[in-house]
Amino acid sequence: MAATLPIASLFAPDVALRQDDLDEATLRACCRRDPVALRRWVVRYERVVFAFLSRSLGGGPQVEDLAQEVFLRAFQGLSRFDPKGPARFTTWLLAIAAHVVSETRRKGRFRLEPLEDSAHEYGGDGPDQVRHRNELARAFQNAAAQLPEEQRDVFVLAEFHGLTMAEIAAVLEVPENTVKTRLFRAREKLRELLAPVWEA
Amino acid sequence: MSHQPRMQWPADEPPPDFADRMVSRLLVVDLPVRRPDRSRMRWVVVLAAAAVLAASSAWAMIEHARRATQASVVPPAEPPAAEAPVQATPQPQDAPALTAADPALSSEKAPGPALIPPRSHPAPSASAPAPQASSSAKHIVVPRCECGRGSTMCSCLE
Repeated sequence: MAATLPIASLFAPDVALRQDDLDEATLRACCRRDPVALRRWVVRYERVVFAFLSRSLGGGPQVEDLAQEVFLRAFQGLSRFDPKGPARFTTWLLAIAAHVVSETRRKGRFRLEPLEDSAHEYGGDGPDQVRHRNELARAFQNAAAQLPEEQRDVFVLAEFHGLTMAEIAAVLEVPENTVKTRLFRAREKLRELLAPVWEA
Repeated sequence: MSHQPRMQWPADEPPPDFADRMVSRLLVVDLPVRRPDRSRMRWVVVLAAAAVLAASSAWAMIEHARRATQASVVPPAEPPAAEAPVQATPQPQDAPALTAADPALSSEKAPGPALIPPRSHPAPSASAPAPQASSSAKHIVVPRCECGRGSTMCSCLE
């Protein structure tokens, strides 16, 4: 049954994206162009930025250019970030990434396309499980590609980056109720699109 | 199924040397310097715009008032001409009979019916008000302006 498909529990939690933020001393050292602190900063957040950009815009070599743009803008505005403020640094950085994504979409440079059959093969225990997992993954990526961009952004931030509704609202600069609506509709659409694969 | 299958949405992984290349780029990038005179420039522009706006408003109001004054004020009446002495209209019975043979008359008047009594006007009495000079002067008809009171583009009085 499509109504019983537990969309919210289908995703492997991305632990690497949900680590704690860097401490204030490191961020201040980054402002002073300390190379060690800068490297810690980039290493800590590079996966977060790459994950958001590639899931929002689709993977490819362009993601690295956009990630550099995100880090560059974040570094230029780092002195204005208040570590004691209400916003987490991850939220602040993702807001910059969301701006870059929005600008890129406006220019029409990227479009998330459904995956080919040969893309992203996963390993597993047995051949049946591997095949089933690959089918699910491919079906999910194709379904995610069919989501509207604003729903996909909300879904990615909520499911993979673990942001709260208020944080997503701050990142995307939309009201919190809009975030709830978009997330609800994204889950409903995924549930509808994945029901045949899930039942099979 | 014994365990819940987890769907995966693979994301791009950063290249191994991404952090080093990013740090080397960040070390040479110029940070934007906040220039204090930029805010001063902003204030100068705002004040200049406000001054232009105030000056243009004042000019428009003065111009509007001037045009309204021109339209409403009637030009001063011409000074009444020297009042001719009021002559008593001779009564017909007192007037001598004019004949065509009268040489004085025949030299000044064209020949015609000689006995045309002058139009009799009532003799002006002392108590009667004298005719207003302004009423006999040029009468200016001011067109009615249908424009709104506050409209600045009123062209009715031009």
